[in-house]
Amino acid sequence: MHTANQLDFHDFAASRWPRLFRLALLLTDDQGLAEDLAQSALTAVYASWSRVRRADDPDAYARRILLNAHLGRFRRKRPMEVPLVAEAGPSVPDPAGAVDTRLALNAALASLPPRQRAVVVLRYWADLTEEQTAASLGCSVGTVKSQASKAMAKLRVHPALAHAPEEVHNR
Amino acid sequence: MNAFDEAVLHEALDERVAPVPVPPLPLASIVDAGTRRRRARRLLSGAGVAAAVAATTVIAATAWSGPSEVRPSAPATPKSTPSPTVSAALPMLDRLPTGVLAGHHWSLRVVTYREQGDGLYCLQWKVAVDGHENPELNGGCDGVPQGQHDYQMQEMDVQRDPRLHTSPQIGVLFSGNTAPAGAVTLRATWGGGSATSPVFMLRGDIRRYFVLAIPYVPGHPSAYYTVHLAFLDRNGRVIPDYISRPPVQWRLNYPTYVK
Repeated sequence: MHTANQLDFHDFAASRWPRLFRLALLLTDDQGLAEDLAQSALTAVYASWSRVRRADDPDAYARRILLNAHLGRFRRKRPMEVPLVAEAGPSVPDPAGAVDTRLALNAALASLPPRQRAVVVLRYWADLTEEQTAASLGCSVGTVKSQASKAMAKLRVHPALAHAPEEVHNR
Repeated sequence: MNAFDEAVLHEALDERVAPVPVPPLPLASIVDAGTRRRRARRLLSGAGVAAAVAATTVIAATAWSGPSEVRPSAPATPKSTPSPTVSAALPMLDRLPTGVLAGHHWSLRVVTYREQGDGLYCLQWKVAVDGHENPELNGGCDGVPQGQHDYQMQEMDVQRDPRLHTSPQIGVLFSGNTAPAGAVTLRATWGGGSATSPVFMLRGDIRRYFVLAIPYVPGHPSAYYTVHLAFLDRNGRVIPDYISRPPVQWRLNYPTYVK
């Protein structure tokens, strides 16, 4: 790769790394896995950099690779073993509320199927439009709408969020 | 019932990730891996792949209540392993089957693959039913064999395309490593039925792509369901191996998808 191209990629990678890592973290809830996914996405971008840099939206390319890799994990290998111990009940809200908010949100997000979770993260954290979300996930806008609707319906009635601090709901 | 508001979801998600420190960018690793990937791609388009994939495909008739006829257009019996050259390997990938299943034409194809040491490995596959490709059904192959005795895929999720209400079948391709010794059938079992595919093994073969036609049942409670895989011996008994272990100790994801 030419030096100029390499410098371009270095700039791109350095500026996008935090965002990709955080996107992966919201999708996986696992820091190690999130780092792997973000790294895999940038590796694929690097391998095709001369083409990607000419693309209209290199960010979309990187995001799509990351999402494909993430969702592919569920198609290829189900996480085989999960604890059968009953999950702990909702915690008592602490005065500050912030920890409970995060825990509640984690629990609620974890209850969503991978694709619905991805839609929620892309729509409500990455602030993508429905069209951009559909392009990132390789599905139709209608699918995004229905998945988002189902996901939000589940979040609204999730017991963990029902016990989350009031400020989560009413800010 | 809570009143979780879409308007505050962004903020809540932000709060979830904001306290987590971002690890340093592993630029050197990314560049190294990316460079290797580019070289591998060049190898695929040029000469000199070290070995070829030993992939054959089988279309299985299903044991569904309404018997479906499968007429594969690709040879159902494997031929000898191609010589390890690009020209031999790539046509193998192109020859993934197309078929007619109860009047519906379906096909599978590997769209990307990579070279790794001793062969080509499928990375992604696509399924088309009646010429209608469904991105929801596209997927990644189990492309990183961990060893001859590592049977990685024990179950998989199948997602029906809601646009294909009239199509009761979908085809699913997955890759696996060597079947256990004595395996003659691969069986997929799901919510209300099962399908089997003969297992053809070539001497020295350590991986193979199998294709099973898995019908969608009208009236099935969900577009999503989980399929369990098992290898059977010639007497129809499940071979007790990793892939065939009964999933009793695993909490399946199926109930979470049922509406």
